[in-house]
Amino acid sequence: MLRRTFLGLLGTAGATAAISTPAVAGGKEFAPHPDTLGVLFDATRCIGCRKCEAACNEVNNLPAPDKKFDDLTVLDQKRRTDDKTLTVVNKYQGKGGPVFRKSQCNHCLEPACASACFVKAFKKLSNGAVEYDASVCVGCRYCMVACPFEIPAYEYDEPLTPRVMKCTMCAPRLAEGKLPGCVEQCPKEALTIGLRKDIIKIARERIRKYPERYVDHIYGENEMGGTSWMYISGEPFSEIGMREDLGTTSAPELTSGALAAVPIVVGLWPVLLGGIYAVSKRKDKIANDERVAAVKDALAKAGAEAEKKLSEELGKAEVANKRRIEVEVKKAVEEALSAKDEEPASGEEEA
Amino acid sequence: MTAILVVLAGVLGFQLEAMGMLGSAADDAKERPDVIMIDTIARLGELEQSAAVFLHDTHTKALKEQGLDCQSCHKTDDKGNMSLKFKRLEGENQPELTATELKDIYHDGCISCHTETADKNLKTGPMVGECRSCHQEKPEFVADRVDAGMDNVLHYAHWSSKEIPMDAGKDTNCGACHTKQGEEDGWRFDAVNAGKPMSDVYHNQCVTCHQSLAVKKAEKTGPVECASCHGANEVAVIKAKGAKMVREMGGELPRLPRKQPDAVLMMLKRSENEPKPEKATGMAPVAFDHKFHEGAVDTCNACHVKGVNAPMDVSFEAMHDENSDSSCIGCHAKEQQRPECASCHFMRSNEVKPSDASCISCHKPVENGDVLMTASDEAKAAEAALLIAARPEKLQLPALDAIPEFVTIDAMVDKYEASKMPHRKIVLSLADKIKDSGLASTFHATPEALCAGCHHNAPATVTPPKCGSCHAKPFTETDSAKPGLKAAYHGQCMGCHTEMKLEKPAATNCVACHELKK
Repeated sequence: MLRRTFLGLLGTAGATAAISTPAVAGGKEFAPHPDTLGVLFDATRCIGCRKCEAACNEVNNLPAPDKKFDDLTVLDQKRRTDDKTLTVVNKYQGKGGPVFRKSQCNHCLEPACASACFVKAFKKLSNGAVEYDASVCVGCRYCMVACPFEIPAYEYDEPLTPRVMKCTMCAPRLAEGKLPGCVEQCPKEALTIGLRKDIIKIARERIRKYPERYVDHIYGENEMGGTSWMYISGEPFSEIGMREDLGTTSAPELTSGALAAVPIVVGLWPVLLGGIYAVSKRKDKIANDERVAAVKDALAKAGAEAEKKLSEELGKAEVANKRRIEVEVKKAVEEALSAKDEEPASGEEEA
Repeated sequence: MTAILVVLAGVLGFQLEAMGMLGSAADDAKERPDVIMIDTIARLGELEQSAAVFLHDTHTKALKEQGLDCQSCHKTDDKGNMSLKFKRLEGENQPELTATELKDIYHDGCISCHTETADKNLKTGPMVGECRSCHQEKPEFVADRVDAGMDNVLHYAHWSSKEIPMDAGKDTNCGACHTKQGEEDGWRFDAVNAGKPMSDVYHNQCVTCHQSLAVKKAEKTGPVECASCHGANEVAVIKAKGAKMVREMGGELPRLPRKQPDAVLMMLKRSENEPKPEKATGMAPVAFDHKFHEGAVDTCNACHVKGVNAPMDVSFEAMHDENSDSSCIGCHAKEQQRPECASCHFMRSNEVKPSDASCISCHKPVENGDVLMTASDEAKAAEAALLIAARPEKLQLPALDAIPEFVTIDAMVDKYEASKMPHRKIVLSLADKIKDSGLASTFHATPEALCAGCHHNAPATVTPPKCGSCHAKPFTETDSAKPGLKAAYHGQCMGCHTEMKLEKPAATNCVACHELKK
């Protein structure tokens, strides 16, 4: 009985979960905000001078680094963004010499960090920047796990008010009509800013005019659902340290199916399954009660019957006994009489 | 229990190995040029075994050590030509062999020799029963051949060679390979060779001759090993030797004595039957310096793609396709990729169509075009020679004092001081690098043409506009391709330095060009 109940519950749970997912996973396509800005990084123009890093450090009032920004020997090691460095330039080996790539938050159109954050600390602004609100952040660092580009960094050394640190696309400066620090300082205009749709056109035009110079692909146009910060390069992107295995589905879309099941699990299942269980349990209880009552009844009936039979049998036995006694007496009388008949001298034993 | 598991693991291991899933020999396969995969009977039916791996050079070396030669495996027919097939003659007059017969030829032919060599206690190949040593499913050797070519240097080595006998009554030896004059490509494209794989045609022509010279103990002969013509390293060695020979001759290869034209007037031909037009029509003719171009290319086939006997493709695309290696424009575009040219030319996108002025560099209008159209080849060649002689020999530059000596760039002084650019030094240095280039002198038709390399997108002049008159603030909506002024300066200068492969000044060395502001 218990096993069948269990299997029935399992089936119901699965069925309810299944009917819900198609409705959610068949999501609508929606385009980014029309005012979303984009930034194009042209790897054929970057000379690895690190002026962008210096500018970022200045406009964000970050602490001075151990090695100054004009020390180009740091490029011999691969670096990543950390809590004091919102952008880094790394050196790679290209076909005809060194190639450089600037790494920072890519300001995805559908950010994985915003999707993973359960306190809504990340917000995709209409100007394209993914903004971080330190006042609601609880420091769980799910955003660091979620980011496919491994960009957000955490202030582990801050005991009281640690923040997640990442490039802000200089959203405050953009609001004032200024350019982001790195874009303004780059001497080669390796970074080009504009509306995202215009930036894509610029990139395509550059690739069309100089086909032998570029790989025919704009990285970030569709990767992870599209990013605001895009790259064109003369070397294959995997050669400049960029993942080519990310696919074009955005992170929220990848998890939307599973997440849509949560309301079902949390809301519907307890009620539904609890109800079914309760009904089933009640059914069992009633059946049990009935069984107990029936047993009692049967016992009582049997007892009564037994009593009746006993008294009947006793009555019968008594009658039989009386009869026997009578028969015995009769027999004895007859014997006596017959003996008397043979010997009329003895007295009368019978009274 | 554990015993069962161990046994299962062992069985699994054996099974995987048998299925070839453990380790892949194919990835570790060594590459050699002399690998021949023998699958002769594949055309006659399905193969029971995979193709046999055969290393030709190993065998020629081994036979040579034993004092044997090609005859051990290759038969000669009654005409004296060596057959390139293994121990059999194939051709029109030979009977067709069945799959079994072919298999037996190979098995008996190969294994018997291996067995004999084994009897002599020498290193030998697989013998009877070692089937998979030859028929390897995952061959341990893989063929890696470069195309063996005959460029002009190698050709000179042949036509100047004393070993190749001269033709009867002539002082050239062309007939030894090129059977008929006027049909020099015939030895490759003749009907008798139709249907044969080109490798057979070439090997029959070249390798057999080299071998026969080697037999005659000639002083210099060509290679007979696969690797010597098809191995990347060996080919590089041959090319280096050829370059050395050319250098010792003074840097110029002697011209092939075949009475090629020195100059050719390329224009539309008009037959005498057609009525003479009132005036010349069509594009002006091109005076082509054939003698110069002969020395500039590696092989005649660079332009005569279909062979030297076939008529050339004279369509517009054939002459003007900038992406082709055999068109005029395409070859010139390749020249522009040299560092001394790329400094200016890398900035110019291919998609910008050249102006009409550049057509005139080749298509120079002539006065007597209508007469020339029906003139004889000699008359046209003479006219072409005149036109070629009229071309500028040296690169023209503006007068020295028209080239500013220093240009101070102070349009954007901020963190750095103004930059004092040694303008004249740069211009003269660029001019010096291309002074020997006929291409540069002809196409940089005016003295100001060189100026336009940096002072671009404006008419060529000795008083060009300031860069800032077009390049201003970046990221404007009007022209997204145009960089701002700072990026224009840096992009132009740094781009040129990178293309010319200059190490100094390094792009990241800001103070090399402008001092830091105190």
